[in-house]
Amino acid sequence: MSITKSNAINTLLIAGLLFAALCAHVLSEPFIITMATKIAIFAIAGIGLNLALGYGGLVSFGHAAFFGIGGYVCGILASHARNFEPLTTWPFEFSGTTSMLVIWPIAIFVSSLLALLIGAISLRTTGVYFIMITLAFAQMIFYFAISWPTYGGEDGLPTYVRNSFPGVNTLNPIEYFLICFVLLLITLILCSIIVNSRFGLALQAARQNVRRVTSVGIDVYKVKLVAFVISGGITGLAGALYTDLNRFVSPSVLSWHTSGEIMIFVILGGVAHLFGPLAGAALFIVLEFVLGGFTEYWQMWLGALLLLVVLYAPKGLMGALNASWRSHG
Amino acid sequence: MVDPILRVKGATKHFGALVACDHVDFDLKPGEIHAVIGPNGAGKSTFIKLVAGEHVPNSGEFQFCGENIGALSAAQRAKAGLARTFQVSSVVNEFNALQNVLLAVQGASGETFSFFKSAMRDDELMGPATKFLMRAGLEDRSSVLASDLSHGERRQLEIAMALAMEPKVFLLDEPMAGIGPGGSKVLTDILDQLRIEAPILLVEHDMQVVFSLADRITVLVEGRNFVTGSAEDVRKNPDVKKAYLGEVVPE
Ligand SMILES: Nc1ncnc2c1ncn2[C@@H]1O[C@H](COP(=O)(O)OP(=O)(O)O)[C@@H](O)[C@H]1O
Ligand SMILES: [Mg+2]
Repeated sequence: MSITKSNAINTLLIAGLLFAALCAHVLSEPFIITMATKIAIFAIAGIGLNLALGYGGLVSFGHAAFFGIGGYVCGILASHARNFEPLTTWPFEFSGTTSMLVIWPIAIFVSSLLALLIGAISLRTTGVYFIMITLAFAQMIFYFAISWPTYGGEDGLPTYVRNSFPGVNTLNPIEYFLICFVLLLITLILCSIIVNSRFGLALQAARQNVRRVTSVGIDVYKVKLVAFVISGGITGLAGALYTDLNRFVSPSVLSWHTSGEIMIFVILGGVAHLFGPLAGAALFIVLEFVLGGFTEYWQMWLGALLLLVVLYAPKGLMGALNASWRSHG
Repeated sequence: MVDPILRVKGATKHFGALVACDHVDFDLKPGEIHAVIGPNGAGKSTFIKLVAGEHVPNSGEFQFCGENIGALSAAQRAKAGLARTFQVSSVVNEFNALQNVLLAVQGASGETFSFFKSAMRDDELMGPATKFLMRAGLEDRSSVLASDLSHGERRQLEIAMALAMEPKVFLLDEPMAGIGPGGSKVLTDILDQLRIEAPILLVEHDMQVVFSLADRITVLVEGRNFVTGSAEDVRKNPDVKKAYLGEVVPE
């Protein structure tokens, strides 16, 4: 595949998202803007997972943990700030915050830390065991969130208004979309840099041949763990954005459905393709909307599509697009 | 008398009831090629894995450059200067030849946790990688995917990666495997050049290659030391011929 052609497809995809949101803004269709925002946020979550799953071959079925924790960090910080109940009084008093610029780094930090804990244990296993143990960790956190009443338990935690960003009216749909869109761009760039770095090279090699990477003196466990931590941090950021989009966070973001959906974005779009999660998230959200209009059972059709992709386009949407462009161009 | 760079005492490895290596002693001196030969299943590959740290031994002492390396992981041993090749080529298939060597240069440099600089545009990696690829005779194949290389070229790539580690010792597990009797001229020449870089523990099935390259030979049979001596002594040893049961030892 020629690099310029695949670049053209990528540009089309990202420009298309921006264009759709701007058109919807001009036509006063806030629902469409919200859909576009959701795509951007889910794409960020997928890019996070793709680093582990696509580039590192770490099939995590527990990324809801990071998405959800990022979401809860956002919700908890905001609710404390609004209730004037300090979150901590020792070693210093911290009363929560409604500033996105403070919330994001904390969400990234906390979800990375969680990824470090979960990864450190899960990465001692491989294959199906890894899938199961990441799922088990996420389910543990899910049940904990349901049963812990302080932050709403099963009912979830409303945040009422969006958190603030200097110079932006975050409650205006298009302005909040633009925040998420810029973060998506930054995530894409960051991920492309990481993938091409020495670390990225080692990670992709480790996916293919652990023994070989070890034999050139690289600690594969450490490489995978660091990738898992970065992956968790990125997905956690997406979770924080999602809470602000909905002005609400509930245990459902921690459920295994969320893990499954993030995984579907990656697989639909194309594993280990930088823009795959964006393509996958876009397709998923649009299908949910279109098919959901026809039938309650849209998820069954989605399942059928997923099956087709796995069987006939193992490199996902991006792989198929690149291939057809090449054969026609 | 020079101190050996690698000294192994009593290396033992059990697989269930099977004793693959049974108190194997071995040493490697600077500048020499010390071959380990023996019939199939004698424990040669297992011995290399013990030295490289891929298997945990049941017992045995492993000294490298005067230090006990028993507690080091395989990656740490590789970084310390033990570079190995695999009996069955084991490279990164979706990488091209150059990227494979680049990975080895990077591993030896110890700077894997660098996240922002493009590896393929890093002269500190590309320069040496290109050089070592050339040394292994693959300069024309640098952008070919490892999975598309011929069997012989993959053997060369294995050696390029070992070279790129700039090791203190080479551990070569049947570098001529699958090449055919006498080995390939290209590979034999490359191996002969290798000894200038570092001493070699050479496991090889092809006797012609062994006798043309090795200074000393250790014969393993059923996991035990059978004979160790100069290439000349081992060639003349009648027990060795018997142990090989009809396998040809060239006169
Ligand atoms: N991972 C393993 N598990 C069980 N048995 C093994 C394993 N690796 C090697 N063996 C056995 O140990 C013996 C020595 O094998 P190996 O070291 O590969 O021999 P060589 O390289 O000399 O042909 C053989 O009988 C082999 O079947
Ligand atoms: Mg062997």
